[in-house]
Amino acid sequence: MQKLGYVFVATIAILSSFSSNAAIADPRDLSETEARAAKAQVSLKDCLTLEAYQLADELGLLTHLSKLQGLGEHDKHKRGVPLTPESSTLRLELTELVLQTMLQCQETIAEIESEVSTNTEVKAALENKRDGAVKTNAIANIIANGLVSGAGTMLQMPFETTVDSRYELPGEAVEAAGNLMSGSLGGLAIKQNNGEGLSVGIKPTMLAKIFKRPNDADTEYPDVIWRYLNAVPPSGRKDGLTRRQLLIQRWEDLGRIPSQSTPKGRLYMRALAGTVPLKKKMNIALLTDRIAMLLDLRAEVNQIYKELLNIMLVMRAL
Amino acid sequence: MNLNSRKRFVSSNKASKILLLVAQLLWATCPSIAASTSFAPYSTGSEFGIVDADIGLKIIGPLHLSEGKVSIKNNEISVLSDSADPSAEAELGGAVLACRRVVEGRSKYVRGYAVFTRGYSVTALENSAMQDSVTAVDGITRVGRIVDVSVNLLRIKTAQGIQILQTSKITELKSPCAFVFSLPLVASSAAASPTVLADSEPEQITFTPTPLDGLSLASAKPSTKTLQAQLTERHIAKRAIKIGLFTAAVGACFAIPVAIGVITPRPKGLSSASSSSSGSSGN
Repeated sequence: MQKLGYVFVATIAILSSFSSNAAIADPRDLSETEARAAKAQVSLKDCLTLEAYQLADELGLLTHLSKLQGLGEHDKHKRGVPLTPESSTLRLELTELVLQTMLQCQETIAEIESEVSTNTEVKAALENKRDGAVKTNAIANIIANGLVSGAGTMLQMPFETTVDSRYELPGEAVEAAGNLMSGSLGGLAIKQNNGEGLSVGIKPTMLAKIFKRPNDADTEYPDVIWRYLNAVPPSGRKDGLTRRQLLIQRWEDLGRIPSQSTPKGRLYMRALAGTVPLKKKMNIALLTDRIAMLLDLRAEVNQIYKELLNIMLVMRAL
Repeated sequence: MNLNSRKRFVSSNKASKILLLVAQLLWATCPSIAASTSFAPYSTGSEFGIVDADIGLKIIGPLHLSEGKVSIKNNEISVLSDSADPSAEAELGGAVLACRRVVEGRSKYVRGYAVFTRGYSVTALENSAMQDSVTAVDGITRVGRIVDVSVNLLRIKTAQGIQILQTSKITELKSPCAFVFSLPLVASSAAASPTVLADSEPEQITFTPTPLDGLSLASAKPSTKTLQAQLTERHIAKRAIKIGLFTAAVGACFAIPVAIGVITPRPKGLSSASSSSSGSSGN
């Protein structure tokens, strides 16, 4: 019996060891880091996204990553064993370039956010003024339609048993005047609904360079960000449009700007870019469009962080 | 890593950096937009002449142009911000004056003044606090505001009125809208024949603002109020007028018909009916 028990336990142990070996050998059980490391040892293109590969090429990081790949120090890196000086230098340089790009990206975003903030404040002030004007208009309408028209109707009512038509014509006249006033105030309300316009001189925004209009030193883009915006996204598109052109096309499709092929479209684009003086033309609609477009631009620039993260993860995996 | 392999790594890294730097320098000297310039003296032996040029430009004054282009045709200059757009309107337009050939050692240049008076971006150059100054061959300096410039004539509005000067007689010009330009002249043949230049290197093409020191400051108020001032200003007089007009209109709506009703005599039927009822009650 004792011997049978030993045989039984040994059989169970052998069978369980086979099953656990099969689990370790299954690549689907590898962690994400290990999976990436496995891919990175074979080919950088397989573990970098197309956009990250494009950005790495743009920044000159592919050479560094290829050298790291050649050194094959992933296991040492994982176990915390000191790396070779060459590997450390490459990693340091990669990190510096990535950090520099991040800060340049942040610089651009900071300028965009500053403009969004300023435009939002001005828009809020204009909306407050518009609301005040509309409220005053509503009060005037109550007086015109309620008081004046009502008084006119009352004047037409007979005050004696015998009809006294002395007040009929005046009553009709007062009622008509009240209706006319009400109609005029309604028409004025439609105009007031757009809000008033402010006058402003030339002050380029971050949209100026996007539209290829003259900008100034404050609205200049770092080279890497400008090249990123002027690059064709590598995934999916066959029309050859750059990120900058795709942004403009989206704004045209959404109706934020008229088509640039028309003079009206080009002039509105200049107004959005701040490259023409505006005389009482900076209104709520223009500011709304400008803020939305700046936010779109910020989102596009922010995409660089995804690519930079991908590059850093690959560097960690090598 | 042993010392030899470390040395090899460092030297290969340095070599790749040097190669990259050389490549960047080579790329920088190849202008993205081919520049072509020609200069033709007005007459044989004349120092001044006519310039034709098509050159790429990135910065002019405070304006940064991502794909800028300067086009000079028969001394008329226009600046585009997008050279790739054939329908682009000029950001700046004007004329070039006092164009002359200058020799400095072994290098030759075409230099002159570029004055901008029109274009979407000309207000970015203007400065309402500064006056323009133009000096002619007669030695007299006119101070005021340049209102128009063409290839042959310049109009300046001074305290004495608008004065017209021939551009060929201008020796010095100072204005926020004026620039001293310099285009390199690579090769020239006989002075009387048009001189065609090879492609100019971008870094030798300059548009320098004219010196503004010494220009008297005009006591001009800024043409546009700040946004803060516009948002906070209260048009009290306008408001009072609007309220007054509205009140008068409402009052008139009531007063005129009531006055008509009071003035208008009562209808005869009503008058006799009321008098007969009062008489019968008395009986």
